Amino acid sequence: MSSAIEVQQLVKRYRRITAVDGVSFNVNSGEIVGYLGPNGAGKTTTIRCLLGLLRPSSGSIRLLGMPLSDGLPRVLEEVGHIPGEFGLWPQLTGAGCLDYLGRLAHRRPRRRAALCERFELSQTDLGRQVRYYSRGMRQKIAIVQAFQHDPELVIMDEPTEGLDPVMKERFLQLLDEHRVAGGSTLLSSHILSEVEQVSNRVVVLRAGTVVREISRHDLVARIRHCAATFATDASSAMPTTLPGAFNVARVGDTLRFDHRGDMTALISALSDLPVVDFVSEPGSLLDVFFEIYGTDSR
Amino acid sequence: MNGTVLTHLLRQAVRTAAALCAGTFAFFYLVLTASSSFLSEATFDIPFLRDPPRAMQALFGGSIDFLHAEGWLVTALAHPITLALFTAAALTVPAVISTEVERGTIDFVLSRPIRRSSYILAVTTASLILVTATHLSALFTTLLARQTISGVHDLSVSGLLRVFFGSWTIFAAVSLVAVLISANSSLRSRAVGLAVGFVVLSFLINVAALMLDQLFPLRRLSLFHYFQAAKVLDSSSRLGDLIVPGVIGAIALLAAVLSFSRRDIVR
Repeated sequence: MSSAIEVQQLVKRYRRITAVDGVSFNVNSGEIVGYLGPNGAGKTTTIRCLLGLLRPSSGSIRLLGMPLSDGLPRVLEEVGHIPGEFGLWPQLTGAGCLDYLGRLAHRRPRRRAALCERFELSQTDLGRQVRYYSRGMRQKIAIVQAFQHDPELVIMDEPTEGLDPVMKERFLQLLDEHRVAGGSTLLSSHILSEVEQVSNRVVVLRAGTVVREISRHDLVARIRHCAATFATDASSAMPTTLPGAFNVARVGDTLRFDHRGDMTALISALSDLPVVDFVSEPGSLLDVFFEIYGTDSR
Repeated sequence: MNGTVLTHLLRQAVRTAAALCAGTFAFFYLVLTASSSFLSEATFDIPFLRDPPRAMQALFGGSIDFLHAEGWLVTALAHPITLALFTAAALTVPAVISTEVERGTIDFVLSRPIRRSSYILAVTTASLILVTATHLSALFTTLLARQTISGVHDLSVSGLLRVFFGSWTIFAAVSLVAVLISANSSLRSRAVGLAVGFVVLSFLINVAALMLDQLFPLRRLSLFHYFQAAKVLDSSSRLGDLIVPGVIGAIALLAAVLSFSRRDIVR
């Protein structure tokens, strides 16, 4: 499988401050990779290095198989980008912004009409100057401009800021369609549920370094929060430990615990006990996040 | 140079350009109209008007004669209002670079397949077009005044072409220096402030050097030293002096392209 993004030992220093310190990861073709980390972890710096907005102090970057140092303008024809914090040209209309950015992309914006319809940008909306737009409206323009020329690779920094839940859902559908069509995506977001919903892999960053890469499999097979309720007259049979269980706590007739991995042994053990109800809920990516960053993050 | 960026910038600047050209037209025609009472009606010969005190001459960048049309044209060219109009024309478009960085729109532009050097060249071209437009407006006004105001028709067309080319060269250089400043700034107000400061400092150095003998050697540090309208009009100054601002402009442009191509785009 070819890589849409290959980052090797990326370092970015601002005078004495090292914002990114030896980051390496890749995004395969047809894959959505979530890029997570707390504020100041170096996510935006990495993304800006990928797009040539920042010059790396050292390390190498390849986009769509091409070294960034060799042909940035050429490779950017195939890239869509949604910046984290951005402005638009206040004196232009929404359509004017999309026209300008479309012409700069050197490719026909063949998906614009469909995208505007999907995100409910009417002709009236597009005819208004963007200085009158709400945050959500500006975000929709940013999304449309990133996808309107049907890029192979999309790099996004907090792309759903300001969108309402319906638009967020449509945006995640758009990402999934892009993936199914063979496109690749790097998605940096603080909203873990979104990353969790669409990502094939998650790269977790802390203090400028990659601390964990979590595959789709690991995302699915991650920690589960369990609760086994025992028969009222069988509380004496309630065990203090169970196979693979941790964080065990007794609450009335219910035994609450966390479990990770294969549950066969656990189910087998529970089947021998007077259990009347058993609930197992997957932990969210948030749990993984806190696991990595420790309880201080809470 | 990127044609899309150039077209975009010109569209954004068209109202400003129209206002500056209209202002230049109105001001030049007003000054040359005012000159008519001295040039056609006056029967007196006051030495003060023919050869004003040194301080006044310093403010107008050199010798000045209010009893001839040339003197009034020099007055118009060196007047603070004209300086403000031409400086605004020279700084409006370059300020776009720092504005785009400050506002964050530059992220959209530079993440497109566009070289940073071609972006800078587009800004430079748009800026020079604006400077040219205001100077053409002033030239057209003077030619119109030459046909319609008695006394002003003494001005030679070749002299007018030389003098406006000289002024254009100075403000083109100012514009290129402004491009360099803006290309290295992430704040619009700072970029504009530094560029205006450069013009004001350059003007004051020239005035001070012409006024005070002790400072006379400093005159070469000022852009305005290399263009003295009165001397250009009476052909006592060669246009070759304009090579210096030309070279300064070229160096500023080269430095702008190199520094902007290498800089980190951060707010």
